[in-house]
Amino acid sequence: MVILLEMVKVKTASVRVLHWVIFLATVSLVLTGLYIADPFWLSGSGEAYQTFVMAKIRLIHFLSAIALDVAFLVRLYIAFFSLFHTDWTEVLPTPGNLKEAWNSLRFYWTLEGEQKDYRWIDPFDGITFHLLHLVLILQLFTGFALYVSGIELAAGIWGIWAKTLHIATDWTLVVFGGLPGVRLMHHFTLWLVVSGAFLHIYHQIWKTIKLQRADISAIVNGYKLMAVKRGK
Amino acid sequence: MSQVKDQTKFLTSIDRREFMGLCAQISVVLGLGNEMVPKIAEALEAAARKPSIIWLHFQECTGDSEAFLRTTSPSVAELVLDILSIDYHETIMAASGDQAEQLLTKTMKENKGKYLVVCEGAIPLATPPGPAGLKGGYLTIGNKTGLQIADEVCRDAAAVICVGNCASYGGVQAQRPNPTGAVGVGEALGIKTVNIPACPHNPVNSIATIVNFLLLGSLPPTDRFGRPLFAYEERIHDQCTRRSHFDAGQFVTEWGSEEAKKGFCLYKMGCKGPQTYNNCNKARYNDHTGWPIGAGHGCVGCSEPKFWDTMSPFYKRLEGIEVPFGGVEATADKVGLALTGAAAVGAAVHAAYTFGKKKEHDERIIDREKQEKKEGK
Ligand code: SF4
Repeated sequence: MVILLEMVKVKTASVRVLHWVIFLATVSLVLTGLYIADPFWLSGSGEAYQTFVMAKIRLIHFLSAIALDVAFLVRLYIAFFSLFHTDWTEVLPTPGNLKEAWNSLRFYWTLEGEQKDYRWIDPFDGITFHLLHLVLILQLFTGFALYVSGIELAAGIWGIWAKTLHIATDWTLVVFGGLPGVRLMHHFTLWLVVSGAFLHIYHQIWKTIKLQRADISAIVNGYKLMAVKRGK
Repeated sequence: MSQVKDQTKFLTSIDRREFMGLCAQISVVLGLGNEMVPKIAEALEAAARKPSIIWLHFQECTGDSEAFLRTTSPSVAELVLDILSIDYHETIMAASGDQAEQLLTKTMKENKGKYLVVCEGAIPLATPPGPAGLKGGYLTIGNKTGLQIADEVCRDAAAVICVGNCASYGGVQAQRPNPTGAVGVGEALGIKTVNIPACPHNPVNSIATIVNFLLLGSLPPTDRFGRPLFAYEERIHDQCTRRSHFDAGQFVTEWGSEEAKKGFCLYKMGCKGPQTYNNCNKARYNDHTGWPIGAGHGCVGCSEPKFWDTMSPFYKRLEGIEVPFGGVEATADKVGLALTGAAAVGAAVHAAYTFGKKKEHDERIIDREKQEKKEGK
């Protein structure tokens, strides 16, 4: 039998768009976040009303965060209710997934045996996505905990928003020891996101080169190669 | 009758104007309008309801008493003798020794359930080594431990008000490793206290809390750390006079520089205003004349629990986190960069190894394909 490779559709347009929204938002969040933590670019000695550097960068940070969170929630919805393919089970650390992910990891380092062809999210990716999203959720909660501390005296609708955020995020203050701890955690988690994203990108490039299944193209045009066993 | 007498005493011994000034200040701090000022004056003057106050000292530096003594409208003498009835205050009372202790017992007995206790300083809970070791023995006054004194005095109090960070949350002596096991009064006794933390506290806030008690008969609403919301609802950062420079991205990067002279934001010099709740800029210290950031020094977060641990180093923006290995103190940035570096090195090693092995791997695949062909599948 000859191994035939065939292009199969694996990702819908909405999933691909969401992926790149999340990518852009993350890049923007990391860059603006580093600036907010340590304003390395100073806006000179003019009058304060002439510039608005920090305020604008914080605004970009907040808007990117909202974009990321909304995109994340929509992606979560799609994972459960997609008409094309629901994939929420593929990112759960179930014993089966963990075992297959471990096999993949072993293969990645030894190149012994075979790597199964996966059409959807392969279990190793699934587990790493799971961890990466936990990190993003942590970032979401610590971020909003820091954010709400600035709108304490808000009234009206804004006040309801502040109250909601308090209810949702006050636990982070207890877990990480007040605003300084939350801030530190938020900053440290940035590096988890950076290193996680780096490993993710490396992994996809490696897979694309090594396994010859056009994995990267899946997130660009939605198709990847699958081995299909066909006749003689 | 006594009320009239008291009021005449006011008119003769206190400048009415100064007194009304204090009332107005308190009204502002409490968030009440102008129309409440006469009411506050009335409440303060009503001798019948003038509560007796017992001021206790524990592990502390007397800074809060010092701050309290800095109110000049009215002066502390007027405050102590006429406006509030501070019956027991170890630092400023005339009596000493046995006499003082008798005064304490007398005040407690006569005003059982009605007096207010103001606590200053933390209470140590650890037991000193040695045969005479007593729980809380690191602080003893007149053969009693601080814990015993606090327990006795606070048991029958109408309310306990903690002034300063030490009484509220333990302060500097509760900093890691906290050898004496110091904790705030509320934690030591397991009671609810109203906390007026800061180092030192602003007397306007403690007097406002007492006035709130006199006016309404209840203590003001507090946040989850027991701090009255009227003073601790907003961050320093959101009421700071340097905030426009923060938003503009104009920061002091060196002490004594041109930027510092211009009053730029102290964020890069380690200001903890963004993490600290207090009304320093609104109420200000020393008769509303100054406050740390106004004087050019960043906020150190002294009104927050455990600020010595969580806010230090005071002159750096991103606090270091301790890494368990080797007792090295590395910052979040260093650990994060190391992590990212490790990921990069891991990827490089992996790439070198797997692409080095490329041939073997690919040949195996080709071999297999050949074999499968041969087998005629
Ligand atoms: S000086 Fe401190 S509190 Fe004031 S704006 Fe700057 S960071 Fe905020």
